[in-house]
Amino acid sequence: MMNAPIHAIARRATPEYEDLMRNEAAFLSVDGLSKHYTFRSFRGTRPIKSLDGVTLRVAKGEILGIVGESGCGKSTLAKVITRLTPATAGRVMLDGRDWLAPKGEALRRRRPEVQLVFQDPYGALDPRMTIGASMMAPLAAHGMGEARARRDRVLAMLEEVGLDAAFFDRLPSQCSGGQLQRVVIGRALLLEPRLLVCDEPTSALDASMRTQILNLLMDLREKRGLTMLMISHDLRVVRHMSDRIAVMYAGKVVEVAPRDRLFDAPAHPYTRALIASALLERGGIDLSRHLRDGEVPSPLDMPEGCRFATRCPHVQPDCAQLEPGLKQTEAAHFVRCRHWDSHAAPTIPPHA
Amino acid sequence: MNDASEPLLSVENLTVAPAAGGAPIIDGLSLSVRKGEVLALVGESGSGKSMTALSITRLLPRGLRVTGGAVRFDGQDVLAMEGAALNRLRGAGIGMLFQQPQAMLDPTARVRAQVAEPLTIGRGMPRKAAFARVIDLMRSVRIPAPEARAMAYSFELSGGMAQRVMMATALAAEPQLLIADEPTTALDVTVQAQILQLLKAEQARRQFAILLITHDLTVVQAFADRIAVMYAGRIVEEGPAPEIMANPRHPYTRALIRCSLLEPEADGRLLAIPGSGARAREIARGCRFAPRCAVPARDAALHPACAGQEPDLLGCGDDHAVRCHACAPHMSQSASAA
Repeated sequence: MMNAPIHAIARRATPEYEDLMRNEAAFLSVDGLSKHYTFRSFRGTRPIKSLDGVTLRVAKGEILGIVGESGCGKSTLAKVITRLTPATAGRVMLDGRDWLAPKGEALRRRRPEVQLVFQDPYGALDPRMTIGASMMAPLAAHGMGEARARRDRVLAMLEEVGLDAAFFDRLPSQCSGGQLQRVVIGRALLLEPRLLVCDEPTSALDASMRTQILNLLMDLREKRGLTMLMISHDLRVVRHMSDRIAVMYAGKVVEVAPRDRLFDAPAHPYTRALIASALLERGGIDLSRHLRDGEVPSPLDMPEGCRFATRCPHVQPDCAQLEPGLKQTEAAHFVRCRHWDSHAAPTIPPHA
Repeated sequence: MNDASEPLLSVENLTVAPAAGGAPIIDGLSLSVRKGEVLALVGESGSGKSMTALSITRLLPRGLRVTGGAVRFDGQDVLAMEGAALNRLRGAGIGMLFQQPQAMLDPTARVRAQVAEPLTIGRGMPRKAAFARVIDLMRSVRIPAPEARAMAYSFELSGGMAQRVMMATALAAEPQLLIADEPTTALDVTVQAQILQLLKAEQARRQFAILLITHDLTVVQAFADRIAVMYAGRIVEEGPAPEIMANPRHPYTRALIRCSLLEPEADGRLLAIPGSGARAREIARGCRFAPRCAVPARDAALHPACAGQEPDLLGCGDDHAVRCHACAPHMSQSASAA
């Protein structure tokens, strides 16, 4: 203890998320996950750091909301976790097993474990295949049941997602967007996934359809004890669905907290700007105390310091120098801001 | 030109139908925008709100045509306009902002040339003077470093910056009415709030009117003076924004507000409107919202009226009108129960 270096003591005073989580295994453990795409131009190649060292824990049966704006890396996170694109660095453990290691046939066999619900149900279904054929295809691909049994399973699933048997023979063009999103959810659940990743599941839907689908997801969660990643740019959707929420900005998690805590005591200035923007009807239209007129930094040219500094109304001279860590403010609440305790202000409660 | 009582824009009984025949897309729609006010036209996809805007500026796509009604802007008959008069209307009379700002900008021209167009072509201002004015306009919509951005091409701009450039272009012509069709839907939420704030500030400063077309009631509440709610090609409720948000009368408006807030009801679930409005236009008899409406389902006495006859848009208080049998004066008991 006496010989411990100064920085170790300081770190103990305000622990960092990555350090606290290192020995804390969960049902889904994401550690230092990065995805760098390559930008090629005549000047050579440069990395686009779409996802830059993301660490997250999700308990079994928990819904973790991921919220952020375009380019924050939330959809890249979905693609890496569903193994649709390889990670550049980092580790993902699913129920104690390495989820990024399996390749080829081994991966194909394990794919049912993690399923994705897409944003655009029209794009996720083949327009020339009937609903029934689209839903039976993954069962056949994974050799689940005989042809006859597969049909029965699909019919049972249609009922579970609130559609009658007549939909089995319909084409996507004969259905509404809300009905198709039910089909997409049902198709994902047919494979009995251990983790369901929803990437903007209601963004393409009208307000009246959106609540139908969110109710359905909550019913299915209760019935099946689903573990979910709920990815959305819409804070209201994430607020309704999630147990905990991680806020992402420019490829990093900038705040993570239990749902009510995030709304009661948002610590990151960006989180507060998001809340104010999402709840315009209560806060009026003046955002100037939450945001400056600056732009989101280019992923090709990330600043060395805090990535939100260009838009932050509380920016200090030291913000531009060194990137802050994701530090603990309270038990399960972490924020990536060096000055969070000097500018935190009360905002709107989650459910008035 | 006209006295204060006449609205800047008035649409009366507008009907738009496919040229090939079939059910009208917009069915006997009437609305008016007064000078300097913000009217929000709210509806879900397919309700006909965008086609209403395109009818007003005579930009309907091929295959659709106005089959009835009148559109008057600043005392002139818009539907009778041709050639140069129509060009003057679009720009100097009515400016437009669209959902996809990037798609509306020419990728081969510098920003300043596009913002200057209403000045050089529209008013014959010399290029040099116009370019100087462009910098002022860009500064007024809070574009950082306007001198540098004026020389950029549209593909070098972010979505928020592109929408600011579109706004500068529209404002350059000093329109009396700005039609903003989902101007912030494609933008991130924080940028959306900034753009709306800016639009509101410019509107207050220059005193032009806005017809805001949106599906997002959050945007509306923060922004509009009056709200008109569309469903299946018709206006179902219209009134002052605070009144509609606080005291919505039509069951559809009421449900839409609850759906948009995403706040759970007493049972912990979100309110959902059953079914879909996709085919509501094909309903030949009765109220078009009836199949999805909770009122006739709960109140058997109303059922024959809702299923049998389409209600009219009737006044129900100060400047407030609603198209609903349950809200008609002699049935006000049922309305308050719903």
